[in-house]
Amino acid sequence: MPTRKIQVKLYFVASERPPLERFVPVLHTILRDDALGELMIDVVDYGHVHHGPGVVLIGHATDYGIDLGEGRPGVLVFRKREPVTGDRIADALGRALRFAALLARVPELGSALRTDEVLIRLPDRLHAPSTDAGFERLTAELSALGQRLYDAPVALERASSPRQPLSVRWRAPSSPTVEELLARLP
Amino acid sequence: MSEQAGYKQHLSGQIREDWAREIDIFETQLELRQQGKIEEKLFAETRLRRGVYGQRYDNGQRHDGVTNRTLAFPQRASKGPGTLWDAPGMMRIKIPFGKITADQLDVMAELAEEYSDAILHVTTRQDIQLHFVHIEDTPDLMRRLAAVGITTREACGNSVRNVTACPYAGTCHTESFDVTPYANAITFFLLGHDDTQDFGRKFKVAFSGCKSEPCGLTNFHDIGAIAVTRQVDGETQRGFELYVGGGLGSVPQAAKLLDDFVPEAELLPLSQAICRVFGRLGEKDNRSRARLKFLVKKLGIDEFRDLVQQERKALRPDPRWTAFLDDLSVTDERPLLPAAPLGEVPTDPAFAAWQRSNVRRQAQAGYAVASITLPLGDLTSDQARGVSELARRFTGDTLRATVDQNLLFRWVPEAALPELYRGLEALGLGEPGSGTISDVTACPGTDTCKLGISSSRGLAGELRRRLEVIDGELGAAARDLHVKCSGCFNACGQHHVADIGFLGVSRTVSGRRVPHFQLVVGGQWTENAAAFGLAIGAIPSKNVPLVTERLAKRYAQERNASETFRAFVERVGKKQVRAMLEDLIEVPPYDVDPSFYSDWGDPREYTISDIGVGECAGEVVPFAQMGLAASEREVFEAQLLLEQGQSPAALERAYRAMLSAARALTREKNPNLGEDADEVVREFKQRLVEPRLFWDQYAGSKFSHFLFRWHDHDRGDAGPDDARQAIEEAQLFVDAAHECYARLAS
Ligand code: SF4
Repeated sequence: MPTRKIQVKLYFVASERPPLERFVPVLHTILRDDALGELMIDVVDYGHVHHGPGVVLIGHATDYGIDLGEGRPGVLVFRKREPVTGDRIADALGRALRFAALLARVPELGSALRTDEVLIRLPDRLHAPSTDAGFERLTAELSALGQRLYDAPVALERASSPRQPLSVRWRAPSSPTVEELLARLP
Repeated sequence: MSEQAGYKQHLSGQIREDWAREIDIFETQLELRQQGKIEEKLFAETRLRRGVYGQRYDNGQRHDGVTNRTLAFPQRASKGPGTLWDAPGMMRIKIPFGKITADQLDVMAELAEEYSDAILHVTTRQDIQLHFVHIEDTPDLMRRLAAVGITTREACGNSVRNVTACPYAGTCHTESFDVTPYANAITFFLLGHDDTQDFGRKFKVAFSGCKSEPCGLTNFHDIGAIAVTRQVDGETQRGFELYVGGGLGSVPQAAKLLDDFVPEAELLPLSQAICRVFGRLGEKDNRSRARLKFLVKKLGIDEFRDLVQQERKALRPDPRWTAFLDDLSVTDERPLLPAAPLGEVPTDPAFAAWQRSNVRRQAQAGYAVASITLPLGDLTSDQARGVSELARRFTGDTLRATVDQNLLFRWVPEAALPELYRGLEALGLGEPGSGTISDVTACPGTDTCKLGISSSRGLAGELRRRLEVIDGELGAAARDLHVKCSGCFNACGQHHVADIGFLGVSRTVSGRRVPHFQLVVGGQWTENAAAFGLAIGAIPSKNVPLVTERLAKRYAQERNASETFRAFVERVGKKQVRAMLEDLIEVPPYDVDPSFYSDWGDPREYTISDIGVGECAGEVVPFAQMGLAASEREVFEAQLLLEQGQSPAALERAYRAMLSAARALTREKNPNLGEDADEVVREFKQRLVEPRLFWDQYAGSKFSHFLFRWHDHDRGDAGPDDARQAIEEAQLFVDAAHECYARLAS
């Protein structure tokens, strides 16, 4: 059974730690305004944890975070439980891009993204083991999507040890804008 | 149900059979609740007893800073009164005496990233908690834990909670002996024990290896056991100074001495007797007075002691009382690397600072215990995996969680400390300051707790930042102060025993709510938390860091030689302490400084209008009712087995359902009833059927004969017809049992 648990991370252009305290009220506003169009529950702040989840807008089916993992800040979207129809990776990527677009409306956050690198992670060891076979299966799915988004092949590399959830990093030859990528999504 | 039901198959054979069965049962109960076949209160207590706890906003109400909003969760079913099925909850993972193996930590790291938010949270009672967990994921989560030897059974609810103990046990200079095997024995003896199923509230047990240090905190536990020895005829005997009826909460009470020497062989039976007295006489209706401390207070310790002794005499002997004494080494940890002194001290000042605060020499020469300072008790899944690797490299596998929300490596050769430190630093876990003023303890508070009034974690985070900055100005005595924050009067942050403690309260200023913390000073952390602090007054949340800094600095400047903070407070006087802070008690008007009207880390305008109903108290569900619910579930399982073509198993399950119901009822008459089927049937007949208590107006004793017949019947080679008949009869028997229970209860 394919997993429902998918994480997509896009990295900020600025590599230094962002001012998380500025994101917290913005996430509360996104929640209050129902700006993501899905059930969101609360905002949690893990800024005290080294290379942690940063601040996260927790939802029923999806979490949206300003992630500090790997020591590289970015937006991370976690599709947790809803069945996905169609292309599940594209669906998660689309949510991450729309979230990034909302953040971009507040320029002082400094949340501009580079889109030439994306991390895709499947935190579900039963259905997506972090093995060579798991990687192969995932790359097949990602290659086609990458080609469509960048109109060129994307380089895919395994980004997880066997102890970590299966993760693939894609590197693209260009860095289109968030809006361009959104328009190209299936 | 969870998409990952596959873990049942995947881990088949890797989980203790009884634990696997318990989890299967819980999964069935989830299904039955969704079908409306288990009453919500009963289900709530059932899930709590499996560690599945509610979380803030799970009633579907949240204040967004402007107005109260309904969170439109997809399923309207509930998992307890006012608790929506789809709302995420907290999973408490019980870690007896905080001992965690590297494999266990790895699994918890995986669970955190797959089912939660990639954060493991160490609690003030040596548990690990995961937040934002969906209830349907919990059976698999439990299976994965069970496969590495962890059960979440009785982590919450009206049960014996995690048994805590000094994290230094077995390595400590001041201990009488290692309490670990005793804590281990009592954990598994009381777990699921019949005599612990009828409590009106939770029940906490703690062990300490000595009297002088704080590690065990026995003074505020329902049972607090301090290791002591005595000489009899030239022989050293081990035993425990046993205290009962301590507790924090809104009415903190110091534990009372029950017995100054309970021989080791008496520890388990005496604890069982205490549980029975509590189960029998403890308050059940008024939840706020249902802890053991109230019973001890009401009866007085002398009468309570008499009752316990009488109960002890009446106990039916149990070989488990002393079996564990045959091998007390079962919990021993063996070091991986040979002992080695540190030798030349590295010149790195960061290492030196870490070593000063985070390293303690063991009683065993050449070894040290090293503490990992966890900010607010949190670590990420990646960090947890890194820590487990370090444990495997340096200590031979195990770690301990501490009540001040850190982790300890034990059995580290001193010579390996610099390398261990580098490993921790690489994980972002090389912070010094463990056990110092900046290592602030906090309960979950308004972040996730349904009862939270103020943001204890938000405050603790701010205090950490500020206190780290002034750390250098304070001097050793003030640097060693303990600061603890609770989000409400329930005191999960243990603020009563801190030098400087805070508990969340709310105040109204010009018609607006303002988050505050009640300041409590001079609690005594040493000597097993020997004394509770004095309440000084409510401080606006935003001024609490200034209050803390001022108190710490005044203590540093004005203390007499070797004066403790408690002694300083007593000398200066409560009135004077309050006067010191007077200017920080005022709240500026909203239009002057609106920041006072929000809490730390939360920009929403402060309110308590979306506070929930807590689950700490659980639901009081009598043993008999739990037993009857179990029998209904067994009938349901029997039907499933029959549908799967497993007739003999279906018949056996139907018979077991009748037996469970009979036992649950008979225990109302004979609390000593064991589990042996012959005994249950015999006693059921004698105490309920013959006196015509299990009796139907029209059918007489007919339903009881269903049980008698299947009990005597060869059930081994049943066909589908036999199984079907047994299931129908079991259903009738269980219905009759409910009728009987209603009569007994009235
Ligand atoms: S002290 Fe209050 S806020 Fe904190 S965890 Fe306990 S019940 Fe919740």
